[in-house]
Amino acid sequence: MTDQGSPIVDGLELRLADLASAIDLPPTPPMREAVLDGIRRRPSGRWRLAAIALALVVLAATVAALVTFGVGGLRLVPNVETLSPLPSGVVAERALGERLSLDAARSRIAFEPRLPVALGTPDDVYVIEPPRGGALTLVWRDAAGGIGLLVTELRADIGPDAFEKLVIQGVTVQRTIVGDVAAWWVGGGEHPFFYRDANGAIVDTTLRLAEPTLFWEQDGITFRIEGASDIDDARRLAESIR
Amino acid sequence: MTDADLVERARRGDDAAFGLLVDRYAELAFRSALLICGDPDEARDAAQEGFINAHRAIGRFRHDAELRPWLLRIVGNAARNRRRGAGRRTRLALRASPPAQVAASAEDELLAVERRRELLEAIDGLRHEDRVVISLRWFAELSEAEIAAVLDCPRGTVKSRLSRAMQRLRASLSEMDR
Repeated sequence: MTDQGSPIVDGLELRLADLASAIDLPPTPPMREAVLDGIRRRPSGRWRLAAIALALVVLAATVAALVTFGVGGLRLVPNVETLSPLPSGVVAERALGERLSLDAARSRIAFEPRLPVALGTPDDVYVIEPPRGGALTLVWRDAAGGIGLLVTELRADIGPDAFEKLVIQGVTVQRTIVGDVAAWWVGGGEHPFFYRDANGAIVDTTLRLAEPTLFWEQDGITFRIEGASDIDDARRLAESIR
Repeated sequence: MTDADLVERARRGDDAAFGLLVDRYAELAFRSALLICGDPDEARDAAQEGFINAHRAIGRFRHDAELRPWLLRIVGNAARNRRRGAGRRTRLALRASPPAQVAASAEDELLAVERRRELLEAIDGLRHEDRVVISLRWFAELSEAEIAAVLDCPRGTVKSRLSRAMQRLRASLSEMDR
């Protein structure tokens, strides 16, 4: 008997193959639902129903206000869990995308960019995709060099799961008007917006300024202004968009 | 739908597509984890955790890469983490009605069962490292590359580990035969 078996057939290998055919491995348990629960971070099992019922009660008033939240590209998510602390793999900082000149950005997005003429030329321009057709972010910096004001634009006709999900737990929503279209002034502290980027990672686009945001849809584009000091300021800026 | 199709859909947020991938690879994940953890409940948890982690990382999965080894590495990591905390290992068992040999007498069948039991006992007596590579190779039927993925080590290491494990198993069997 040699120490090593022959390269082709080895008594031990034959025995192992034979044993493998007779091994009683436990049956594979069902896993899909538990995995999908984990992905969506839903409470699983019997607590899910209770949690959903509670969430619906809590959100009834808010949902009534938001039922006509007809802003394209935005999906409202009643989230019973807070998004923080952020799990590993989540991009924590704001990912605005690629910094470009306005002309370069214009050729990258699938719509004609608009500008709030009241503010003049933006300090920075960013484009990111997804969402389909690109999202354009215009940044005006504050005196300290940080982000003072953001205007985000994206196509309104993309599917609701393609871009942003606004977590509506705890937010206040005030319905208003920009020009002659309906708009929403959303506040109440941090109200996270997030989407999945091309890598599948959750991108938290919350500005974390704890300042309200104005949403509206016009000419097939969804607009978002963050950083305005109050609703009148936001509306004034919004109405200056050409 | 191919794996590539499902991966692409999952990357765009199609959770149902990812669910199909889970179904497709559940057995592979569970068995690999089981042979590392030694406990079916831990293995199930490890496999599920592996799939969840894979979903988080699915954007980093390259189009031209193979899904199986990529997934195995992620599940293997989860399984090895659990192994450190695991209690008693559940031993592998023989099936109550094993496959019948062709044209075997009752005596031959009994002998075959006895030899299987002996081999299983010998495998059980191996150190953890040896037992895992042999089990992954023969019971989960993973290739060397796939074993390397699930153990997160170089392929050459798997080769030498397998070789050493087989030597030790042979030695153990010949001890038993004395």
